[in-house]
Amino acid sequence: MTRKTLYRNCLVALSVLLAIPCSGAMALDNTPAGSVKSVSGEASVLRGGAAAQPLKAGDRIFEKDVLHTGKQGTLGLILRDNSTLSLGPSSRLEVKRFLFEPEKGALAQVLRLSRGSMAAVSGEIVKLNPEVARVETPLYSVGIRGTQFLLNMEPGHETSEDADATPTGKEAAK
Amino acid sequence: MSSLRRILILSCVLCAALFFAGCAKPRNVVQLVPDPDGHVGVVQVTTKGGVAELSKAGCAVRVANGKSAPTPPEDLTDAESEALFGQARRALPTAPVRFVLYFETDGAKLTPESQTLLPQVLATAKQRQSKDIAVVGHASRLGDENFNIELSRKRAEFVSRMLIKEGIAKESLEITSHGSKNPLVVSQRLNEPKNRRVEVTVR
Repeated sequence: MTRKTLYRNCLVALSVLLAIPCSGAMALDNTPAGSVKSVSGEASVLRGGAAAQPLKAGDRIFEKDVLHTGKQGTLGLILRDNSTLSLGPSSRLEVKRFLFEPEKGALAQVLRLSRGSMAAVSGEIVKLNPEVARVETPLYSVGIRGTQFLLNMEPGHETSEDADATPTGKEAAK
Repeated sequence: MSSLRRILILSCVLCAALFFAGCAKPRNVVQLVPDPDGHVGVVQVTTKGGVAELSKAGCAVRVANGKSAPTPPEDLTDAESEALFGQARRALPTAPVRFVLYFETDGAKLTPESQTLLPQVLATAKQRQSKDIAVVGHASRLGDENFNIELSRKRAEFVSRMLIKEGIAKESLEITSHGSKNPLVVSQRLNEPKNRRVEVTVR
């Protein structure tokens, strides 16, 4: 074993050791980002590498969730900062980042619309700090200084970031 | 003769196809619309090629690709807005409704006025068929903060019990205690009555 590979192996081992307690802490933090208010047609969530689960009113939504609507599907959501949003048909939205702890000043809201359409009315996070809230798409991103906006993203522009993780952990574009 | 005509027709079709392709506007669109209360805000659309700002109700920009800047803001026709966003807009939930219930000093007893608000909280929860209700307890600055956290938790639990008794499902409730650190009003009074409260948000 050369010195270089020994060094690399040590680094890998170190990063694995560091990652274990981190992932444990993240698994404990199960505060929802929001909840489903309404569903029509087909709507589902991809969470933690598991197979797609159909969504119904009252279901909780978490950071890192990937939401899908079918060809006839729509989905209405209310997030914990009281922002409201909805997806039109054939849409994919990832809740990339959601943090709402105003007492600690910890705020973040980053959503990614890979394709489809969306309506959104901003809530407390944008009122407290508009810098931390945005909606990304493969082609553009929207910075929000309050109130209601609509966005559409044609399919066919998805990047590797917009691919769903399959239950086996392999990346596959849907 | 017939082959000449065929070439003529073919070139006409080709020209028309090119014409319409040139006209087709990108359908990657961001539109600003007024809030339910009529207020209009601002959004910024950013690509690798530049930034466009929307600040007028109904205005929209288009993005052709990731490299060029968004188009200058334009008014979107109602027909196009409906085609792009109609279904999403109709699925947008109405804004959550918030109630503030006040308490007597130093305990988990509602003021008589706030007691009369409870039926309204219940009616709203039923009408919205809400399965997500936040109950957040607060206290004024009077006294030790550990005591205040405990007191605001008792207040939130008291309101939650009342809601459960009246038929709200326990799984729908999210109970939190904020102590005195999240006041409704900033006040010189340690024992500010407006901060002795439970906020109920019906989503």
